[in-house]
Amino acid sequence: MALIELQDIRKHYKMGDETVKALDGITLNIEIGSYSAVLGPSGSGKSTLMHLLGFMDFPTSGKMLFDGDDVSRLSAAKRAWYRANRLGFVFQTFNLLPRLSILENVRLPLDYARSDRKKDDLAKEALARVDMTHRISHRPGQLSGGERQRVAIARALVNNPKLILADEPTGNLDTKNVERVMELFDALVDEGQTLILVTHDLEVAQHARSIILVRDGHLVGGEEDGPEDRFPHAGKEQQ
Amino acid sequence: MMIAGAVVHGVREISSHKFRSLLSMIGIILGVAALVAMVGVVEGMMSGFRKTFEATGGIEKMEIEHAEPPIEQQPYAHRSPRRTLKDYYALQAAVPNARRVSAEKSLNWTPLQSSTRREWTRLRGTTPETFEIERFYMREGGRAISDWDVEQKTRVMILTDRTAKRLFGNSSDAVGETIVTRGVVFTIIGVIEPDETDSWSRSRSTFIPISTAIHYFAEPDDDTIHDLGVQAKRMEDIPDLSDQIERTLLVTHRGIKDFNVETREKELEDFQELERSFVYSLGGVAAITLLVGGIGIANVMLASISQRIREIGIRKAVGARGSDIFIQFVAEALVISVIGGLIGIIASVGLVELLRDFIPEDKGDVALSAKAMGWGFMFSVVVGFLSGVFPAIKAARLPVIDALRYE
Ligand SMILES: Nc1ncnc2c1ncn2[C@@H]1O[C@H](COP(=O)(O)OP(=O)(O)O)[C@@H](O)[C@H]1O
Ligand SMILES: [Mg+2]
Repeated sequence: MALIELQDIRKHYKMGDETVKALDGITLNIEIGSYSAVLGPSGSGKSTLMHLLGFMDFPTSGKMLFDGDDVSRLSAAKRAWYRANRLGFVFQTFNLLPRLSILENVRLPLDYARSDRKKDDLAKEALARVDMTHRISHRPGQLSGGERQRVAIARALVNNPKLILADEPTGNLDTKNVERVMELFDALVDEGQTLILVTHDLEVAQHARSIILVRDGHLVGGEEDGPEDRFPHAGKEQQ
Repeated sequence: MMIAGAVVHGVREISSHKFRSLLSMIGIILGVAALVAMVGVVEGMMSGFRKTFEATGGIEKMEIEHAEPPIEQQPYAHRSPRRTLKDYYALQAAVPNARRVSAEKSLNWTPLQSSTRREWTRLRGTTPETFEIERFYMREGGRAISDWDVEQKTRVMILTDRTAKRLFGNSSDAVGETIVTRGVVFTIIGVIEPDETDSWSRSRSTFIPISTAIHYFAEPDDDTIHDLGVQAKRMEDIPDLSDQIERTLLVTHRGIKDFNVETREKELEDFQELERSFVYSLGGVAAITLLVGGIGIANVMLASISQRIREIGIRKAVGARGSDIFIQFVAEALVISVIGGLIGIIASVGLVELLRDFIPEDKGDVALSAKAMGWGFMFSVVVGFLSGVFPAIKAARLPVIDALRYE
């Protein structure tokens, strides 16, 4: 079953007289439990796509369904609700708040979700999941890049999201930490987590089970292949 | 996020920028402190006035003032003897309803010479009632001026405790001593009990019988007096009394209306008018100061928001709504203004202490007013809220993606 359905989604930016077509007619299903990698040259619209999938932006035209509900035209407050309750986001630059402790950073989505759940316990659980419980009261500045990204993943996990979006999550990490993060993602997906990541790194992309290839705001070809041939060459077989 | 959480966050945010926060508070601190101190000064002055007003006869007292006669009487104005001691006696005889009638001939500043020392005081020729009206009480072993003194033009004198001390060292030694002033020898018959709240001029007054003052110190053909007053028993008597006074005095003044019976209602009204204008101008000053304070806070908030665009983006990305961001920044502004208001109140205590030393006591005691503190604090909170609103709206409206991308 599809968690998200995109139907002919467009995102156009007006820049004076010119229109930048960041996304131009995207039709795509994200299945529950799927693990996709978004690939494409710089400026092709990957981040724009992630922002739409992550309820941080809205399409110029087209239809988007989430869990069967039409979410193409939501108010800002409603989109915030989805971000707080249904989604987890992992960024290239970690985006932790420097003045909050690790625990507070991880708890933040729960604060905004207004949940009555035991926030600190949930945050600690999420931190345990990424093996960071020993740093609960530190500040982000006291952690290494790899550790920070694991904290950011804990923050993305903490509200038990239906979808985790990661925009170049390994872009700022060294090889060892890339591996560690990817192992974490693999484990999450094995437990049924739906996950989409953007990357330039082909090795990273190989962890995913399907590829979404974007070029100039169009999908070039996405496929779901068997485990033996997880990474075909840029979907040329489809042509 | 809940309001409480936002406030806690605001406190943290402010304590991590102590100096900047303090700068932004200065306007509020000064505004509140100035407001409380000024209200203290004005209230003190007002209560000082009330005390003086009461001590000089209160609202029941009427003054008979000299006035230009109406134009048709002006050719004959010289026929009137003007206000003299005869009026005093006439009023005493003709207005039995009055509580007290008093008269005074002021002689202004005059040197008093004892055998060893000299002291300048205000010499007042008065009638016995002055001591009751103005609440001068005699120390034991002395007496005030009596009717007999006034009739007989006796050369007796009453000193204040202060003057007696300065002339004789010990005020209890003064009674029976003699004083020479302007070549006339007086015997001291009484010393006035000192009172801590005595004004500067009260403690520098010296009294002799009014008739004596006229006889020895006025020009030979001048028997006029400076003050003529009637104190009513009750305020309700005033209209009737002033009619009686007018009729009586028209006789002694040979039909010339060269006087006015003035009630002190006007004085009280003038005073209340003054009080009102003080309150308005104070309110204006306080409003401007607090406005400046508010601009200060708004300025710091705007600066802090442009430094924190990324933070806003991150918070929104993980689920903060515009209203959450709005509350966060308004709470921060509120925390700044509440702390500023509290510091302002503390500062006002010091400021009032300072002002106490500068303002003479007879102009009223500068007092801390809890009401002014409450108002000042409330204003500072309102100003803080308002000055936080605009920057907070700006922060709340930032689009997530733009904010996240901001470097
Ligand atoms: N806010 C914006 N205003 C105008 N153009 C934008 C905006 N955001 C993205 N774009 C343009 O849309 C295209 C896709 O951008 P993006 O999705 O960030 O690409 P990618 O992440 O694949 O590098 C680019 O040409 C970019 O310049
Ligand atoms: Mg990008």
